[in-house]
Amino acid sequence: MAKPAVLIVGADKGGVGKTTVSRTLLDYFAAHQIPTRAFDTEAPKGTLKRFYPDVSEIVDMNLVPDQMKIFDTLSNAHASVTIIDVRAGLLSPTLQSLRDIGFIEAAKKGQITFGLFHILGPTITSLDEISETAAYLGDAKYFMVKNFINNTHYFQWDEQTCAAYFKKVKDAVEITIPKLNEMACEQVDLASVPYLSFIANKKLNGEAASYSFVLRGYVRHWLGNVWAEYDRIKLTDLVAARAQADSIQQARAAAG
Amino acid sequence: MSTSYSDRVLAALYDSTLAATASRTTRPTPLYIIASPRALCGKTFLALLMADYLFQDGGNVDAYDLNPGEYALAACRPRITTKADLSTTPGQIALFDRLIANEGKAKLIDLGYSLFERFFDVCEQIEFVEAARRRGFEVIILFPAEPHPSATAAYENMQRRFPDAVLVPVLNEAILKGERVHDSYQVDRESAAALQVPLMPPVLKAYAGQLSQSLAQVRAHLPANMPKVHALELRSWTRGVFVEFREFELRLTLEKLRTSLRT
Repeated sequence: MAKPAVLIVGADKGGVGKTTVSRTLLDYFAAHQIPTRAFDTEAPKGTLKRFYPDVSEIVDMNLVPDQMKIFDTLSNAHASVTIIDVRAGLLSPTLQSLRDIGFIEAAKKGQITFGLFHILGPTITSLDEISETAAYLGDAKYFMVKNFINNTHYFQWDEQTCAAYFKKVKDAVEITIPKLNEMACEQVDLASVPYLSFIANKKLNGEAASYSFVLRGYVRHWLGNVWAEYDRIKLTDLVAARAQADSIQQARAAAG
Repeated sequence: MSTSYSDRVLAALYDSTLAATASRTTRPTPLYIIASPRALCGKTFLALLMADYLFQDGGNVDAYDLNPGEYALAACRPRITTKADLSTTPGQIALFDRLIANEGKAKLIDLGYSLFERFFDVCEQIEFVEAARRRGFEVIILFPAEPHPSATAAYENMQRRFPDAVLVPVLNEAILKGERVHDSYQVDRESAAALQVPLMPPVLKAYAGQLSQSLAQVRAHLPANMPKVHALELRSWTRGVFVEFREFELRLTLEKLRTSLRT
């Protein structure tokens, strides 16, 4: 059994594309045949759950039973990777809870792999968020995600100020998510399917769909660029699951 | 080119739906794109000739006019031409989703110079040329040759960007006016040898512009509103151009045959 990995996707600000990033991560791991589960903290009605009903669950991070549902099952869950899509405003409280329950300490000891995808907004507030978040991180892998999906411009970031903030987090890695064509984004949302299904022209139940060739092309091109970023940061190596996925593939091949 | 594991996964998913449609057709359907980044190099005239040539083949052609504000081809051949627009995503969907549907009908695009970059950027992003080939199209870019550096640079760039398309320089005597440009327009395959469009005498051009019928029809019925000597000359000129187009098609077929025999 590989070491469990927990990836938190969050931001204190809303509307910066947290769920979009979570969806690209779920698709990425699915493509790499790495068993993954997801928790959507937008209780009671989760967006992530709509796209990935089989692997995601809606939880309320403020409730202890729901915290138990996530963290007490890390070692015995079928999935080696757990993605938590933290809703706006809950990132700092969630990290605080993780510290309180000893999760950060366990990550420090190397018992758990912990990665944080911090989706940054364009304003200086986001930089303040970084320093606040850094206090909780311990040895976590910290990814600062510039998400251009909402036509965001990061012009407000003065280089020196920015560098000063970035230094506060040891080994922080920057990821850029390019903008997806608005209509393509809208149509995938309407179809309520993972990006991969949209590209493959499939409905959620696997039946053939009739999505636009142009929009499928745009989604494919965009997702290719996003995944290139995940390849660059060696995400599969981080979750230490590549070897496990390879062994699953080999076992499947042997079974015919 | 797909290289990483992630790229291969995406390509496989995208292709899975295309493979089935490609196998439905045996002979590639031509998809012509008349393109140059320069204005006034005879694109629409060439498109008109090609539309008429394809139309004589049982009317099996869908033409698309991408010359916003002008739409000259659509005005001349309204029955077979659709005005298209690339400035919005719905416009792109209306164009490319129709282009990619292979019903065995030839397609022709008259691409205005102002949309040259935009059109090929979209093509590249959605991998249009590769997808069209998988759906049984042969993508042919007819590029009006000119000595201007921006034209030659664009031609070389197209060769690099779209290796799966057949890029053919078109030597239009009316545009080149005797200038030799062969060295600047190298072809990377035998079938893509430059097409020659002979000079049309000005008097004929004036008549041709006023014709209500297509040039293909001129071959069958001489137009009544034209002196017979000019009508015969126009017919002869048209025949020469159509023979050039036919020979190009034959070169392409022969090349395919040779390739299939080798494999």
